Formats: sequence, C-alpha cells, structure tokens
Amino acid sequence: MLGLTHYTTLSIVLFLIGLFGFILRRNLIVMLVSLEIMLNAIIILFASISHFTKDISGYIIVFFIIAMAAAETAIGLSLVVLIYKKLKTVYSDEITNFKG
Amino acid sequence: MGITLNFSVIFTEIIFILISSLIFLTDKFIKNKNYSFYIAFITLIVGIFLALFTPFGNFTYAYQNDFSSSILKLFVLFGAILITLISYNYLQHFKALNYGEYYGLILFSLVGSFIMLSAMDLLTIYLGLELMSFPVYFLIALNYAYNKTSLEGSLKYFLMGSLGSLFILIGLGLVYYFIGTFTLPEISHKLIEESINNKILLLAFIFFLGGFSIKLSFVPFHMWAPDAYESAPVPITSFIASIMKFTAMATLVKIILIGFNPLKVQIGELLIPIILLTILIGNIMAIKQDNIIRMLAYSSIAHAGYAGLGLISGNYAGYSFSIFYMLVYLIMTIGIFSVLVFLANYKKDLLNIPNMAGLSKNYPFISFLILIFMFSLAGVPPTAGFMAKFYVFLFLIKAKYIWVALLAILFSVIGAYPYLRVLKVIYMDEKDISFEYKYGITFLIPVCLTAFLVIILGVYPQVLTNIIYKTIYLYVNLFFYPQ
Repeated sequence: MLGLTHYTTLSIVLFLIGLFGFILRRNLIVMLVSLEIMLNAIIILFASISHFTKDISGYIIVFFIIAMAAAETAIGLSLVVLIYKKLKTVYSDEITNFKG
Repeated sequence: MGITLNFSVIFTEIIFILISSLIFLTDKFIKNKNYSFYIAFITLIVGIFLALFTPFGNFTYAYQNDFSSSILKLFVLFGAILITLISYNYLQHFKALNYGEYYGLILFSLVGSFIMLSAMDLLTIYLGLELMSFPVYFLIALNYAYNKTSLEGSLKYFLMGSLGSLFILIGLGLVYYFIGTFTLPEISHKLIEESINNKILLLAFIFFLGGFSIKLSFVPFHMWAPDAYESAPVPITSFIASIMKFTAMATLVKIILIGFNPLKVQIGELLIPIILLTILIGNIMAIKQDNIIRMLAYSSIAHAGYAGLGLISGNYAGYSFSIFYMLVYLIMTIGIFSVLVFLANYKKDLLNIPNMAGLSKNYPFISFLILIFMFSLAGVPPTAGFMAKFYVFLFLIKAKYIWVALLAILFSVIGAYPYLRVLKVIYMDEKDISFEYKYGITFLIPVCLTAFLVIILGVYPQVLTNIIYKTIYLYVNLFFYPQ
C-alpha cells in the first residue's frame, strides 16, 4: 500500500531532477521544461497531502498552481520566441550583453 | 462564523481588472494612443476614492480590507499616479512603446499588489505576487523596440522570478504539511498553542524569504536587478524599484507579524548576515558603475537592505519603520527617475555619469533636483532619507544589536560615494553641454511633489510615522487581543 511518504519521496525526487535541469542545462526551452517538472512535483505534494489528511484545501491549491504554471509557461515561451527572433539563439550562455 | 462573500470589499480590484481588460480590448481600434493614459489616470484617481471609502471587512478568509491595507494601498496608488505621469512624459518621445497595453499592464500589476497587501493567507499572497510580477516581465521586454538586449534582462528576471515562486510554493507545502492550514492567523495560533517543532517552521520561513528576497533583491538573489533595471524603459524601472519593493516589504512584514509572530526573534537573528551582505555588496558594486541606472539599481539593492534592518530588530516599531523606509525610498526613487526620464527624453547619452559633466551651468533647476534626491539617497540630514535611516538604526540599537548598527552605518559611509560622485561630476567638472528642452506639466508635477515631500519628511516625519505605526499596532491588537 502506498503511503504519504512514498508520494513525498516521489515529489522530492522530481523536484531535484527539475532543479538540476534548471541549473545545469543551457537550452532555454529545456530550462522551461525543468520549471514545469518542479511545479508538477509540488502539485503531487499538495494533492497527496490533501488525499491523506482528508482536507480539501490542498486540491484547491493544485488548481491554482496549474493555472499559474500555464501562465508562466506562456510568458516564458513568448520571451524565448522573441529572443530567438531578435538575438538568433536559444542558449543562455550565448546571451551575454550585460556585464558587472 | 461562516464564510462571507462581501463583494463590496473587493470592489477596487474588480474595477481595476475591468478597466484594464477594456484597454486591452479596445486598443486595436483607437488611433490616438494617448487615450489609454487618460483612462489609466482617471482610474487611479477613482482608485484613491475607492480605497478611502471601501468598507472594511472580509471576502472569505483569504482577503481582508482593513485600516492597514487601505493606508498601504493609498501609498501605492500615490506612487502609481506619479509613475503614470512620468510614463506619459516618456512615451511622447519613445513612440514605439506608446500602446494601450503599457498602461493596461501597469494596472494589472497594481491589482496584484493590492491583493498582496490585503491577503490573509499564504496562497493568496503567492497569487498576488505572481499577478504583480507577470505583467512586469512583458513591460521590460517591450523595450526591445529600442534596445534588443533588453530581452536578456527580461529573461533573467523571469527565470529568477519563477524560481522565487517555486521557493514560495515549497514554503507553502512545508507549512501545509506540518500545520495543516495556511491562513496567517491560524499559523500563529497553532504556533503558540501546540508545541510544533519550530525549526521546521523556520525552514518554511526561509523558503518564503527566498521567494521574497528575489523581489526585494536581497543578496544571494540580487544578480538580476542591474540587468533588468537597465533594460527596462525608465518609468518601468522606477515601478520595479519603488512599488514592487514597497509591496513586497509590506507583505513580508505582514507575514512575520501575523503568521510567524512567535518566531520573530529567531527570524531577526537569521536575517542579520543576509541584510549586512546586501548592504555591503549593493554599496560596493555601485561605486564602479558608469551608467546611472545601473548605479541606482545597485543602490536599490542596498536600500532594500537598510529597510530590512527594521526586520532584524524584532519589535513592532522597528517593523513600522522598515515600511516607512520603503515609503521614503518610493518617493525618492520616483523623484530621481522622473529627472532621469527628462534627461533620457532630450539627450539619451546623459544617462552615463561622465557625460553629465557641467550640467549645472546651463540647467541649474535640474541639477538642484538631482542634488536633493542624491542627498536624500545618501542620507544627508535635512532630507527624508536621513530620517528613515535614523529611525531604522535607532530601533536596531534599542534591540541591543549595536554591532549590526555600527557595521550598517560604516557601509552607508561607503555608500555615500556613488551619489556624491554624481554631484561632483555635475557641479565641479567643466564641460559645455546644451540641448533643447521644455518643462511639461507631466514633468513638473511629479518632480516638485516628490522634492517637496523629501524635504518635508526630512524636517517633520511625525505624521507619517505615526500613521504607519498605528497600522502595525492595530494589526497586533486585532490578532492577539480579539474582542
């Protein structure tokens, strides 16, 4: 039988995968995907807490987070498209116009 | 007590959202783009009356309109009115930005800050924070029409901001896991009544602090600030520096005051290294900057640090003075940025400090205004910046953190150099510059009002500090001695 700890572990592992992807990868699209992975990890955390404590507010948080994730992705993708059009790159280490 | 759906409480926000949606819908069909400025300006004036006359009360448990949030909303609206005025002034010279969306996005961002100021649970604070920062990413990126690299600043701010929202969500998850609720008063009551492991809650607060320190540009997360500030249009830079920081600081004070009140001494100890490093790095990095906006970005990092000194002191008066510091900083920033908007309108390369040499010979009024605001930012006595710093240091010493106060004063001596350097270049260097200009009313109103307020608050700050102290005092009374 799966318990709360299993879900928490899954969520932590997913979150760490996302965090490493966010820090180590240089492709902007992959960075956005990593952000989504981290948000989904948090969604799993809230849904599982809500399921095991029979408290409904966790599910409500999940819906808000899904909406926020959609908005965030929309903004991120539109920025990346603009950057690809204007600066001709999608790699974060090639965008170095500001220094110090 | 059941859940109440009192729509008159959220009337201001509904009006703001409706009008900004209206601007988005009609913008395509109207040729003269200045109409959206008038709509936004009238909305903000109406917003002041609405903030004064909305009834106090709750909209479910999540949203509360009370004395404190109304007062803070009035301050935010005051700043927003001045920013729309200088935006109008700026957009007349930078036509490619002059679309209705500019003002519509500002209004959306203001709705977010209102939600943050009167939110009563952590989820609503998170949603308000996101609503406040999403439009600003677009507003920064709008500037690509003039400066392609501004996309980089926007992207950096976006990545850091989304990381910050993740931190806040982790904090929310920890609170929900270990306490089972996320309403601020209930967290505080559970902390007092039951002996929950305080270390876990402190960890949750650290995550919240991580999220907020990205908005406030505290030290480990300050790197986005100079790039985003430089790449944004100048009025939007003042918006990020003033209103967003003011809102974030006021909300952080509210979270500590209502939600994590039993932990406030530990939180103060935790903040000491962060705040001191913030002040030090902000001041030292400001020294070598030649672009004045980059210099002001680093100085804004340092000023957020000074405001954070009030949080270290751990008593209610200290908290009220850290809000007062952010208010004074809001006034000073809008003032100096409206002068910079004037300079950017008529001669863009004047934003580099060495090019400002000899400005005082032909333009004594502008130079005098820069003098007032720079003195205030540096903290020279007859200005508001001095009084704000004085109060913060006073309550730090009262809380027996004398060494922190001494170090902060030492760092603020370092921090006086970048401001005085600008004045030295303007007043003492010899060079001839001349450009055509005319003072419009949208330039004179914000500048004169802010300069007047800077002087008045430096001489007689009593009224404003009393009001802010009373708001904090009422909060404390309300939550720990309910009728």
